[in-house]
Amino acid sequence: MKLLRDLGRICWSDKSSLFGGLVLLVYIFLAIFGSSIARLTSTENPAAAFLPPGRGHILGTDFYGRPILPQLILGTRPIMEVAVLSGIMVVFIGVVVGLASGYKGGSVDYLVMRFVDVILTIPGLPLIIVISAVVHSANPFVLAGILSVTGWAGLARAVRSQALSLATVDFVEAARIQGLPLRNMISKQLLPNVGPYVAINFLLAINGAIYALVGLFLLGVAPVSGTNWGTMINLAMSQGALYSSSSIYYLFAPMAMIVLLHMAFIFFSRALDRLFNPRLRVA
Amino acid sequence: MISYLARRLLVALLTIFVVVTISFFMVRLMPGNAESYLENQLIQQGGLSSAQIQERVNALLGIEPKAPLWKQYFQYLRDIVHGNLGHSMINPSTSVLHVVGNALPWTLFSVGVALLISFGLGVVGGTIMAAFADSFVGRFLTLVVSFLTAIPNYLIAIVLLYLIADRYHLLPSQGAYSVDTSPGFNLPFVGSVLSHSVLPIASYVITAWGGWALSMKGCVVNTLGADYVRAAESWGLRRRRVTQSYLGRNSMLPMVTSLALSLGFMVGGSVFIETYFSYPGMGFYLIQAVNSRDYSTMMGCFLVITVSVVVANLAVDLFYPLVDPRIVSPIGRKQSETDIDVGSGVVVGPGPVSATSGAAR
Amino acid sequence: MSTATDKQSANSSAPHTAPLIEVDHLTVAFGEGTRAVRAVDDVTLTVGRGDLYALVGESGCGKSTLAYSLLNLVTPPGRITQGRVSFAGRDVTRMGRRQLESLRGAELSMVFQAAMNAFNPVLTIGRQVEHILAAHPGVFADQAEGRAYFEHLLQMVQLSPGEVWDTYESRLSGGMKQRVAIALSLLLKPSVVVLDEPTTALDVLNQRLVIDILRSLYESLGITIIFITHDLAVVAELATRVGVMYAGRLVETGTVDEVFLDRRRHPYVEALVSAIPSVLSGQGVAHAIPGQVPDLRNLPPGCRFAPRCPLARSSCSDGEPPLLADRQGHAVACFVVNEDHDQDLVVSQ
Repeated sequence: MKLLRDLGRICWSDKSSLFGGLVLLVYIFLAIFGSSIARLTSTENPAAAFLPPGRGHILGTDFYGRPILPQLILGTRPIMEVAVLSGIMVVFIGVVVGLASGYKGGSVDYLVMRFVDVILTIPGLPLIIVISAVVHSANPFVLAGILSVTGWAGLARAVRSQALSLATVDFVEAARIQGLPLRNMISKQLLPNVGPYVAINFLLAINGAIYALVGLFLLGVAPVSGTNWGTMINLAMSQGALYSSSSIYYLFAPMAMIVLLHMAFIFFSRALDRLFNPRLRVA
Repeated sequence: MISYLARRLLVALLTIFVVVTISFFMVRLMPGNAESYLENQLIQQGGLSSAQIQERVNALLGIEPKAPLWKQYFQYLRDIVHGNLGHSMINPSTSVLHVVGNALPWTLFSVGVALLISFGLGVVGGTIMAAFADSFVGRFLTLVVSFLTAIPNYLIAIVLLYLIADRYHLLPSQGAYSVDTSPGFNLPFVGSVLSHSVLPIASYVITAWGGWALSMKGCVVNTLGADYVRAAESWGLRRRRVTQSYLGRNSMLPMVTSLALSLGFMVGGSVFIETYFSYPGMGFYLIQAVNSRDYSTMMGCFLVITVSVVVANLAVDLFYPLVDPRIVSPIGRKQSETDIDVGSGVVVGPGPVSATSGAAR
Repeated sequence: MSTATDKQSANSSAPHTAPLIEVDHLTVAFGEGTRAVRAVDDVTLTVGRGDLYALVGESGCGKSTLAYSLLNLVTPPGRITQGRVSFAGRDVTRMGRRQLESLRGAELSMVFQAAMNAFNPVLTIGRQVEHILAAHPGVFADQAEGRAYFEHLLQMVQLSPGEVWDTYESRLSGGMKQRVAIALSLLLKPSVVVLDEPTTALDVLNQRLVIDILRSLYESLGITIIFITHDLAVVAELATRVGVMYAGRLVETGTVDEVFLDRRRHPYVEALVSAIPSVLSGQGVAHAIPGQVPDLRNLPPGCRFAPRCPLARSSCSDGEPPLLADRQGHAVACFVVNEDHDQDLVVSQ
């Protein structure tokens, strides 16, 4: 597709986009195949606690003497899984609500938009924390749902505006006059205008979900099953990593993983931005 | 104008109402957890019959099992309006309102100052980035800022905690002020408050100002290309006049819009930062309550957090017409007409909002 | 075109009466290096004092860019790479910022295309007028005098001061804003006013209004007007002299009669004129020009109009035709047309 070719060209010419795209691919790869690459050491060896990088443990060891790197790799999937799920939910709900509200118009639209206003005002993170405190579940779908509880509103608004502008044109009528099927109208008119925004919002939603999810694990609010970056940092802090210099790796390694992923998302979404808006490519 | 104000007020009230309802139902929804937890506690304490335990649990949770749901709901509403947020489940003698009342000023102080500083830095930084967009300074700054916005604020808090407080002991890391000073308008106290607030505020600012700067850069770049700027130049207006009244003022408008958005986000972030620095604000008590299953305090904190954000948003909305005489609702500005222009800035808003628009806002 | 002869005699024989603006081999390019696109390519023309000069061409031919360069308002990524613009003997393209600031508005002013966006949205019109007056303190004794003159101008453009001064631009209609912009352009009593497509964005009624206003301002204030348009009908009604641009180059220049009526005309102009249906000739066939304006990044070799030209020969692609003028000053850039005329032709640039 032409879009993919353009994307390739952008990535090639702009290093940050290339960086973003590659890093994302690596993370996705780790998320999917991580468990075949790395294995958690179950034996604890307190004597080997907080070792600097060396043979057998490329990134050092944790409090129990277990190597950090496998933990990092295995920690990718739980985070990515839930985050991507949340992104999908956000986009789905946002687009559906926006489309329906915009197309219906009238009082339905008005009420829905007031509701969207309300959702937008409520601070998301405290709500997420409160809900997950109440709903104590480690189920990735439930977690993803909780994370999505406020994120869909902004997208709904944007999509609704697009739908509104088309509904006033009465595109059903127009489609009928032109003899085009409704499906064609949606795919040729609506999606190309909304598509880029949805795509970029999807990435940003995943990014936000990662932020919130790691935060939840950090605070110990979400129930922990298995290893993930947030829990690692949490454990590191409770095990006194803040007070010794040898524990830097245990503390900073998962942080680096998180920051790297965030950066990749931002850079890649900028690439998408440039892809959909050629005006920006000159810069 | 009136309709604009009325609409904003309506949405604000509606939001508070919705949140109150949510909190009501949440407490009701999980009686299993709260009740059984409390029951177990009381059983362990011993000395109470099961009927008495049940009574006490109901009293603490505010449940009147015999009353119909809607009656309980109105009772709940009435309590809230009267400022009765219940009592802490862990310390039944402490009222939630008392806890909240002590915590709120600290959060307002730290978040407020942080917001002002990051906004200021962002405006300056963004203008520099726009003015020197093609030079080394501009590009370097853009890179730095992109990196900073990718760091979640809690990680910065941990890094600061690690480096400055715990390793090198440069600044205090706990509490809002030193316990050996007495509260009041005296120098030791004020100094202590300031030194204790440096790290928390820094945590907000370091991650947030970059987003503001990027926004400002986008706004300035947009305005630079605007026809009225060119027209102003064609009339021979002096450059300073053009920069102030034509570029500056119009660039600021979308920024003020983002102010309301970012407020909610920063308050959300206070949850992490206050926890790590043991800073006794709303976020700190919220997390404490969550971890100790103190549901009434948790709900009270959540309620007050949300209400403060709603009120702050309302204040910004009321202030906006002063800045923009076209009296367009900033919500309308945040709206889709401008959002759909993917080119002009998907990255709208400060700090990690840009990186995280979606889940946590 | 009843007033054509009147205008002609008013303008007398020499087309260059006291040249006020001289554009000399001006080239304005966008982009860098070899991939740069020349929106204005080696253009030389003169506007005399008292001219009502129309700069004509299709969209993208470079006329707006040329107009901006008259006030040195070309913004990056565009820049003047060659040549210069002189106003009353002073080189505008080499002026410092301070000099430009005092020149603009006071001696040379501009009305933008779609004046809808020419006003700062957060200031009242009155405030902006005050800014302009404050930036040029020498013109009026004080703000009050300036304001009075502005209100006088508003009346000339058929607006009432009350509905303009304390209003924000969002409250004014497009036509109103266009007229306010015209009034503003005259505020500091400049000698030249440049108008970019003054009638294009307007409905028919407002167009009529603006044309009448321009003519009466021209006659009463004695200013020199340069206006850009692609509408030949407006040119016929208003202009005294015409310059025609095509794909960045000037292809013909002369008085309005010469350009519309002379036998020796550029084929492009010929086609444009014949494309106008005449009220008098009844049902006729509308002649559209086949083909499209060339992409400036991919220009045809030689004459740029050759691919669409009915008179084109193979030799037309050998080189760009020079602008050759006859004794009256009517200049055309076309190999074929110039060859067929045995008048003494002089290179006009």
